Parts: sequence; structure tokens; C-alpha cells
Amino acid sequence: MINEMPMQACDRRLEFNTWNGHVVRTDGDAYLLHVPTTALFGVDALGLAVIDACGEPGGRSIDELILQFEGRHAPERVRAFAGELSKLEVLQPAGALSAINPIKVKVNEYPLSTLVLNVNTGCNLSCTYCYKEDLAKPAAGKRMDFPTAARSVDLLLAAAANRDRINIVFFGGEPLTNVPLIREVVDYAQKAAGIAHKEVDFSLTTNATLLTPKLIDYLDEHRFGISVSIDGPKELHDRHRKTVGGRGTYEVVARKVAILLERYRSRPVGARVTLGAGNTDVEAIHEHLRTGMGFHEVGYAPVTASDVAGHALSEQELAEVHQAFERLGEQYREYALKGRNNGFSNMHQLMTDLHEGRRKSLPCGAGVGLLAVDAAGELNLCHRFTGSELPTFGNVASGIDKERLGAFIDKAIDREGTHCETCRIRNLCAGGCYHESYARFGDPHHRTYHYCDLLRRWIDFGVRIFADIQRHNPDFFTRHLGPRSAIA
Amino acid sequence: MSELKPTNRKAELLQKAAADGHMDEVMAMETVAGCATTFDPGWEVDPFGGVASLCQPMEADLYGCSDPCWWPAQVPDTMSTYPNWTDGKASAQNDWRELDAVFPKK
Repeated sequence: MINEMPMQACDRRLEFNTWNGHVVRTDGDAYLLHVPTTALFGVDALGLAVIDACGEPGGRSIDELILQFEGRHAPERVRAFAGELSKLEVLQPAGALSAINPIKVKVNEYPLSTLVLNVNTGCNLSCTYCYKEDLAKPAAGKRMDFPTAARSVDLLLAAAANRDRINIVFFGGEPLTNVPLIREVVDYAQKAAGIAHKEVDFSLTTNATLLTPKLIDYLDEHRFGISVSIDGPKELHDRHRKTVGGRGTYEVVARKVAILLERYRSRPVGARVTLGAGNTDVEAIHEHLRTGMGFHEVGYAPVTASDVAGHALSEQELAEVHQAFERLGEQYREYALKGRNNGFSNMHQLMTDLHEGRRKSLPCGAGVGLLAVDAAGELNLCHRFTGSELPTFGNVASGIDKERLGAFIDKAIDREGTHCETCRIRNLCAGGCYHESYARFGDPHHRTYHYCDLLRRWIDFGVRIFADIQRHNPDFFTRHLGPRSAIA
Repeated sequence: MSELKPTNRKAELLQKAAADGHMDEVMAMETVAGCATTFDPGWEVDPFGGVASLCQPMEADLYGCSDPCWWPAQVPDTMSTYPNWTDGKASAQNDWRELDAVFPKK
């Protein structure tokens, strides 16, 4: 197995297996991504020469490699290096290549850390690209009642028995259309968590229109993590983010954001940008939100699937977004080399994954660490699925339907027969967002094949930037990622 | 492993594990967390790597307060006034005891 040096005769040919190893070249340097673990290694000239030679059809034997590099590299170094790569199964016997995938694990435990409460399906806005199938006008919104919310908190505390900290997220609709419930839940959850000796964190995502100084101070006092949905400068924001009556909402949102950022002390406030049709100028949006308005960080969600035609990005627009991401990513590097963070969330997240070397069997924590509760108390995979036709996974009164949820997760882990099986980013992407696939293909397990190429390029780009920062200013990661990361 | 130079944390672990004969354990390590964040949506809620966990513990974003100066915390401003405040103290988590008070320059 992998922890033993494979016995190999020196005349046995070895081939470089691109399913398990991926080389990313930068100006003058090369890095080897070990696909099965997301370990990243710097490779020197000898290493690269060995990889290139073994990458040719039929590969090379160790004897041939030694002969090829005679006079340039010592035979023992060639032998040692080939041995290391074989151990990692990046070099494998020619003609017998196989992709290393984790042994399929059965998920039986659901150690929830986060529950999303859909406190009201009603929203005072009517954004064109909104994916919420249960979205309603404010008067028709389905509001969660307190007993359902309290049972949700109880369920979370029970499921999180081994955790020190739980997260409660208020979502909608627009969650601030049901502030009385939020206040009740905060009181209840703090008491219940105190009894269970746990910390409780609250967060919410809001369109900001209903914020008042008094409400802001309340949220601040309870250390809410706040994300504001905002799309950028006026002309871009107003393209999709409209009132029920169809008017743009920029003016009011900008006014409220100014008050929020001025008063809010307990936590940094982030912006969440939805990139819908026509909105691809990510750099201008970033400049406006980060430098102009003063958000701490800005995350971007490209809409690649939508029920309503014409609101998703076209293929061309998605490519433009990707190019803009790379330019903003270059800026991230420039800032990082000076020890600063430019607030580009997507990039920061990728850097975190690469710095840790995260290997994911599942694309996200939905259904494992996180569930979302709708007004009826039904348990949904995540906040995006409330109100959808996807069957739910139990109820806060009766508990998690472990059998159904287990079957769902098993299917998501299983890569057999998908293109993911041999993909070089299979352990970073892990198949993509369930809801994207559900909206686009009607099947949450369908892999998000429509942006595989872009995502592979994005991760190669990330490896280059990561390696560069790591080489020239490793302190950046210690400062900006270190204390928050999973591996101490 | 001597010819390969670890560039991230997993690579360091893998290298150590290979030397100790525990490579299987590192191969099996995995993460289930957060949202599908690399390129796709899901930014609405992100209590793991995002907004919700930034300030805890305080050391987590101490330098965030002093570097870009975006947050009105009681931390010296390293951008223009005290650029050397953190010299030699790269990790707020480990070096916080070393961080000294500053006084206005006359």
C-alpha cells in the first residue's frame, strides 16, 4: 500500500499519472499538487525533468532516467526522487495507472454546528435573479413561529453535543421582516446554550433596507455576523435588486449601509454580491464596495443557473467574470506581498484551502454540519432548498431523518462513473454546489460540469498566487489565515 | 522525502507521516466545512471561514485591525504611524505577549 515503498525493478517503466499529480509552473518555479491529499510541493530542476520524462508515453525506467541525466544529476538523487514520487503514487508502473480516491466512508453522524432559520419567506424586495422558490411578498410571507424556532435550537444543541460552539443563522426572505422572532430566538438560544455550556453565534444576511440605528445597536450588542446583499455601484445594483414595485434600491441600501458601517463595532461586516446577467465588472464593484463604502470583505456568487431565463450569466459573461477574478486575484497577491488583505473573499477562501491542503469528499457542509429549517419546521439541506420540491430530511419535532440524509450524502460522496473520478481538482471542488445543480439540471447530485474548465483554471491560478505569496511573504498566511484555521 | 519541498501544511504533514510510516492517516484526512466556496455560490451564510468567525478569538483579526486600518479598534495603526509595531511578531496568536503599547510621538 501507499505507506510502503513499492518494490520496483530498475528496468520497470514508470509513468507520471496526471490523475494523482498535477504540475503548476510559475515564472521559473514549479509546484506539484498531490491530488489525493492536496499537499503542495516545490519541485526543482531535477524533479521537473523526471516528471517530464516520465510524462512521455510509455514513461521511463529508473535505469533510463539515470542514463538520461548522467553528468547532470547524481544517480542516487534520481533514484531517491523517483522513489518519493512512487510512494506518492504520482509515478506508477506504466500501463497500470489508477486514480487514488478515498475509500468510501459511510456518514452516520450528523454533528451539526449550524442551523439556518428561515424566519419569513416574505421579502420587501423582488430581485430578478432570486433563487428562492418560496419567496413571497411581505404580506403573504410564511413566518416561522416561536415554538418551531425553539425546537430548532433544541435540535441543534442536541446534535452539536460534542461541539463548544453553535451557529444560528437567520435567513429569509428578508430576515429583518421578522425581528420580534429573532429577538425571542436570541434570548432563548443564549439561555439554552448557557445551560449546555456552549457558545452561540448569530449571523444574518440582509438586504439592509430595514436597518435602523436602534436595530443595528441590538445586533451589535449580540455580536451578529452581518452580510449585506449588495451588487455594487448604482447602475449595476439597480439592474437586478429592485423593490416589489420594480424600482432600484441602491439609494436606500447605500444610505443604510453607511449607518451600519459607522455604528457597527462587534464584528467586521461583509458584502455578498450576486453576479447576474450584465454584471461582470467585478473590479469596479470591488472598488466601490471595499474602498468606497468600506466593507471589510466582499464575496462574489456568479449566477450560472436560474429558473428565469435571462438572469443568469451567459457562458461568455462567466468567462469575463473569471478573467476579472484573476485580475482581482493579482491585486490580492500585490496586497499580500505587502502584508495586507484586499478583501476579495473568494480568493481568500481558496488561499485558505490551499494553505491547509484541504481535501474534501463533499462539496460543502450542507446535510452534515448544516441544515436549514423552514416555517413548518421541516429540515432542508441548506437555506437554498427551503420551499423547493426536494424532499426534506425530517422535522425539528421528529428529528433528522438519518436514513434519507445518509442516502443523500452517500450518493454525493460516490464519484464512480462521474468525470470527477479522475479530475485533478476533485478534492477541492468535490462536485460543486447541490443547489446550482438542482436549479440547472433538476438533480442536486448532478456534477456542475458547466464550469469545470473555469474552475480548474481558477485553482491553477490560485496555486500560482499561493506559491508566490508563500515564497516571498509567508508571514501573510500566519497572520491572515493562521489563527482561524483548522490545523493549529 | 528530501527532493520535494513542502509548500503547504498538508505537504509538511505528509512528509512527516511518510518518514514515520503513517502516510495512510494523512491520506485519509478530510474536511467537511462551510459552503462550496471556491468558485460557486453560497456566500449568503458562511459561519466557518467568513464573516461570522472573524473576531474570535481576538487574536484572529488583531492584525486585520492594524494593517488596513478598517476597524476602529484600539490597536496601533501600522499602515502609516507605527509601521514596525509587529516586527518579529508574525503570529498574533503566539506572539501577543510581545506586542507593546505605543505612545504618540512628539
